[in-house]
Amino acid sequence: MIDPMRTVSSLALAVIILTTACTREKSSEEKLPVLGHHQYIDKTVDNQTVTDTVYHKVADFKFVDQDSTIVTHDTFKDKIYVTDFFFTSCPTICPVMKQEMLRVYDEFKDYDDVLLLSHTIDPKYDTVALLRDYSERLGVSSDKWHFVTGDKEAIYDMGLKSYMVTAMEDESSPGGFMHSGAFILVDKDRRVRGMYDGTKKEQVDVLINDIHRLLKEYEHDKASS
Amino acid sequence: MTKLLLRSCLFFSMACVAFGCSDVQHENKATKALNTEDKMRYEQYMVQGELLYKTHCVNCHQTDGTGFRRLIPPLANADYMKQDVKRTLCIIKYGMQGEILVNGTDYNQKMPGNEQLKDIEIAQIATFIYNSWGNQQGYISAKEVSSQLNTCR
Repeated sequence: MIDPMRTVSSLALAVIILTTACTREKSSEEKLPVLGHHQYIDKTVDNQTVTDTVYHKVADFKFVDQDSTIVTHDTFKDKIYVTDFFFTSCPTICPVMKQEMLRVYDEFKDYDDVLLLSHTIDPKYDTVALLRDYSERLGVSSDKWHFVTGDKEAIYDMGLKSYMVTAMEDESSPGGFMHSGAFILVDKDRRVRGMYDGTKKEQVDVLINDIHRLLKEYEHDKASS
Repeated sequence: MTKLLLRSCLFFSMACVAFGCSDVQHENKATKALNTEDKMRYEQYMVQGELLYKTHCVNCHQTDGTGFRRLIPPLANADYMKQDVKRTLCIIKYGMQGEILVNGTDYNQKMPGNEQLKDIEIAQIATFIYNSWGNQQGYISAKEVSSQLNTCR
């Protein structure tokens, strides 16, 4: 015999547990994860074994931006930045990516600690002059949003190894290049803290929120140090 | 004789129902004068055209046809587009590049073509963009597209 009261209440309990478990928002106290391969190294400190975590870090790089300024990893020293890979003649996802990146730009326009970095994966066509024209038409400041070009292999390498995204030549892809629409969030210590689909508004909303969280993390650390 | 009469009555009443039920919300000053058949096609084209636009065009030209900054030109009330229908049809099919002036602003981004689209689909997209967002230029038939596209290049 099925007792309706018990069934209803257990069902209700199950629903409550499931919905709270699945929709619990990340509390602002929770830190963003550090993405990429971690290495654990044992060290001996004061005769005790201590395990150090070595996080994945973005490698050194050297490119040139739309102002013909050399842009390196030092340009982003102690800065939080969002980066992506695109090309100006891209027929598919790039316009959406730029529109979404523009939202990030607008949100953090007055935050000196947040910068943007877009790499072209078609350096042959996307010259400094073209990137200059492109970014001007977009209506953005080059100090805030660097559009860089440089050695093709070096750019692809950064994409693959440092930012863990796909970006390469591919004849069968529209436009001739295959690349992910990912936006990668990098913290002040060159660690990757998030990856977001730059073609999806909801994910860029999360990115914007995550940047605020990251900023708070640093404020918190500064306050407690 | 009766059979023919019956058939034509049936057809006539179906046409009336279809026309009566068809969505005339897209009617504008340019489409008012269309005959019944063309009016129905026009309405169908607006619906289909919007779907195609959402698939192939909206990423760049936006849902409201306003384009994107100084990178992608608007379609809404765009003088460049309104000036030359045939040119627009060719652009939809084959894309374009080079500097153009639209409503006083210059644009110089390459636009990719859509060579996979059939003539009727281009007619549907063209009908949609020429009769949306304040544009009121009338119905563009698949026949017109076929004849115009022959002389694009």
